[in-house]
Amino acid sequence: MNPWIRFFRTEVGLSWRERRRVLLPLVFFVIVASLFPLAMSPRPEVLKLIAPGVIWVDAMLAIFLGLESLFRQDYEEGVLEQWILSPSSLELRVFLKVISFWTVTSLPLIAMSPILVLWLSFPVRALVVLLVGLFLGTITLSFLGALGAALTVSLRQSGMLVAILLLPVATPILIFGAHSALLASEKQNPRPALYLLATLFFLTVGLVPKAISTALKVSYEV
Amino acid sequence: MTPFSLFFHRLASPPYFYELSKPWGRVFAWLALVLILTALYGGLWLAPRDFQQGNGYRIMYVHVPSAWMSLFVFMVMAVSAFVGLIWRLRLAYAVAAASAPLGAAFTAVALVTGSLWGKPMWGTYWVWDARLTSELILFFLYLGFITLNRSFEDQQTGDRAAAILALVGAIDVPIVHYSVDWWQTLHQGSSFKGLTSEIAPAMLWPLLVMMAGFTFYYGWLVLWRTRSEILLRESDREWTRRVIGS
Repeated sequence: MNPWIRFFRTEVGLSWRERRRVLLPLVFFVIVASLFPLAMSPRPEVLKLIAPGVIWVDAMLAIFLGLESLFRQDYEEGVLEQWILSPSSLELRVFLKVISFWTVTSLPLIAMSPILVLWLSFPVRALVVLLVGLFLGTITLSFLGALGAALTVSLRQSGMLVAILLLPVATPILIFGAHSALLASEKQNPRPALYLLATLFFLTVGLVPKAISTALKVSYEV
Repeated sequence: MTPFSLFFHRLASPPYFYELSKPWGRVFAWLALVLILTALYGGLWLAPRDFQQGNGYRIMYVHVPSAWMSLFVFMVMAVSAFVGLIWRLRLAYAVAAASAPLGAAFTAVALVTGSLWGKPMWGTYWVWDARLTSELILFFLYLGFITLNRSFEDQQTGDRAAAILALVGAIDVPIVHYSVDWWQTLHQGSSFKGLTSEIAPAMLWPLLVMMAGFTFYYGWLVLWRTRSEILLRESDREWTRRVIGS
């Protein structure tokens, strides 16, 4: 088997076995979304308007808070050191690590979002746009969150710090993502927003693994 | 080696910079003082009242230069971060670390004066306009940079981690600006389109002088703060002991 595929499968398996990692973001995602109707108003016209924003902000927080520990264990056990010393590409390794983490933590969020859509009286015909947006957006956010995790890998208690560092950076993703869904629910054309979201997706996936690798090397002072 | 590149190579050495920054800092401070006083006189006495805004527009002489500095300082930080990461110059990190609180302060001043100006002119302290929003995000980025820079026991790790954040932020700020712009045009008309397109020369020249004054003011402060940063970072070196001893 190709060593990269094996690496990916190992990473997915490792995260999957630690169920807490899969379940905590998912439960967080569902509970936070259920707070908004209680806090604001259960009227469908209000909920319909805030639904995309709530789902997107919720997903963003779930991802950023969950990614805090992405490289922690590898750092403490010296696995990261081996990655950096290894002649094979660190960027590719980081890329696969983030994608594997996304598969285990964010795909369940996307799978759960149709239920949230029903709770928040969001029109079902806009569901596809929401899901496509979330698909692109959660990968992009995972890479940004992984950058935060890499920058703070040698620090303890860095969850809040990661959020503070990268939430401002992630605002364009939030704007395009949430508004593509809102546009679709208002029977307007959501494509411009989705295309712009896709642009950010490619920009991030192309550039950020390099930044993550540099950040990881910084924590070993090489 | 040409004299020019020799100058830069020597400048990167902390003791040389420490010596050189003192006279330069003085020059910048005097220039800043003269320019800012001139601009204040021009802006507050010589410039006429605006026929729409009355005297209220004069807050522009603080607001616009602060907004300009908030971007300029971030640019300086991003370039220093880049130089630091590529050539591993400790001096570049010291400049970035010294700049961040200054940039955050300029950004805060721009945000506050903008709000105070907005209330009488637009009738509201805050709108989610592209400029205001990107200025706010810029402020958050400054805070993130400062926090990250000071989070590590080892200063060099903090410097390099924060440098990566500064570079990501420098790419991000224009994207934030355009994304909010796009969002604005989608939902509501932009609440203001800058100042009135043409500024009368009598009002314009104090503004430009003030911007130059603010830039030299920053130049003075950043040299001054970089000197202390260098002393802190090089506190175990021979030359530092000599300097402090004298």
